[in-house]
Amino acid sequence: MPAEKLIRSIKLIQLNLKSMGLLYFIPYVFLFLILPLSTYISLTSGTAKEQCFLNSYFQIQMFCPFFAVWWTLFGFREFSEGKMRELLLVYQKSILKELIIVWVYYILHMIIMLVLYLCLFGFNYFHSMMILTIQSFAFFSVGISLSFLIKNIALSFVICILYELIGMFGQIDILQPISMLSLSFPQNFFDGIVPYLFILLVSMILLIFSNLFAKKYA
Amino acid sequence: MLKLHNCKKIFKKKTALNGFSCEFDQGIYGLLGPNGSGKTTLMRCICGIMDTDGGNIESDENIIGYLPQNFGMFKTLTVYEMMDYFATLKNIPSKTKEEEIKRCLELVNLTEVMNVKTKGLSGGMIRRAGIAQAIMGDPNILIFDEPTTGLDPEERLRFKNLLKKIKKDKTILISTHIVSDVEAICNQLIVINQGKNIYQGSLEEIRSAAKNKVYIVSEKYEDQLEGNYFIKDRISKDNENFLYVLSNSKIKFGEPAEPGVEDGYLCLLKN
Repeated sequence: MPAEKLIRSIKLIQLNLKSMGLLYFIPYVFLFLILPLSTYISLTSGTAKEQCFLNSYFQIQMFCPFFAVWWTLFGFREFSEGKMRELLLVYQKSILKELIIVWVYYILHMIIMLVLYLCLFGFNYFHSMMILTIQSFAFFSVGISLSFLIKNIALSFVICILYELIGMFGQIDILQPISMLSLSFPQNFFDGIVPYLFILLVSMILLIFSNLFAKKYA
Repeated sequence: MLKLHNCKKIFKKKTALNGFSCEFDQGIYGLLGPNGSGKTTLMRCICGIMDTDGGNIESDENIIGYLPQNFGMFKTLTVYEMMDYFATLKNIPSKTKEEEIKRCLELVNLTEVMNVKTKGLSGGMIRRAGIAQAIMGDPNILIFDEPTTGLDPEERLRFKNLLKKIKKDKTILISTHIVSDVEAICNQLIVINQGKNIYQGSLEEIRSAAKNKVYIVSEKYEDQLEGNYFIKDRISKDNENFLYVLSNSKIKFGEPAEPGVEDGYLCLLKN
């Protein structure tokens, strides 16, 4: 039975993502084209390898976690807004399970991208995997919670973009307390993870409560 | 099969359902009511989209077939993929899924456009696809919210014929404000007003609610009409204009007429 349920969820995810059309490929463009290309240009333009390693790390932090919202927000938009919403709610009360599967699917893409960095440039970013995963989860949670609460995908996405811009300029002292950006590269898998555990906890609570709210106030 | 007892639903200041009670057995039920009377809220509560604020809804069915008033589909998917999507949502076993999708598409005459993307469908076709997804999996309770809105006369006729095909052993609830559709399709009628069930019965019974209250009056007597009356229509006959009047009191200079379902419905609302 659990296997059947998983197959059913995967089938639903597949059709939801297919409904995105070309928009589905946007994260691929960033993960596998723009980010590696930017690192390659930086390396070939004479930047020191160590500096290039750190610059790429900041770029990865800026773009990878953010795109965790893409497939979950736009692939499942009909559950939050649109003409199908009412009908979908009759047949499926919650899509949280499917959304989490899509998030895991995105994390797998992120891992492939890190493997690509290791193979192409010899940059090993796997020590930052925990931080990147929590950052991705935070974006995923905020994006989904907003779409559940305000029932408007575009606005939820804009709020995520605004936060992303804050993250980019997070090195400005006044904005640092609300930035998720890790300014130093972790020495091992769990290095520097403590502040992120709080973010993880808040994200999980937010996701659970917004899901309950969405079910109650459909 | 489906029982509603004292259902209440309140939206901030507006009471949408105000102690609505009703029992549904097998058959086709027409749900009539003016705009804002609570029809859509009632259907949403039955389908489980909304929780009631009081009362209870009992049903022995897990899956209800539902067609909402505004039905839309993923524009980038084909009709077949869309049906596959709903079949998956409805937990239809993968072994029988393809057969079931084809059966439903055939019933609504959409087999030919099975591989066409839904953005290429006409409004009527989208509505038919909506009906197909509702009947998929053969649910015993079917709920259609304004199913004939936006359909041309031919499509409406097709819908009526489709209901005749599928009605066996089912409870079908159709909300509409088109009384002629109710007359042609339903064998039971429920009138809802201000969130309350103000009438439930057969079409014959609702006609009798307007018995001795319908008159055809020459237009020249219009100024002489008195009391509580309502001019429903104006008709021409032999170069003379007549008024179709509903009145609680007898009209001396009027000719009594045989009431229709709409007359009965209007009498219930006006009272």
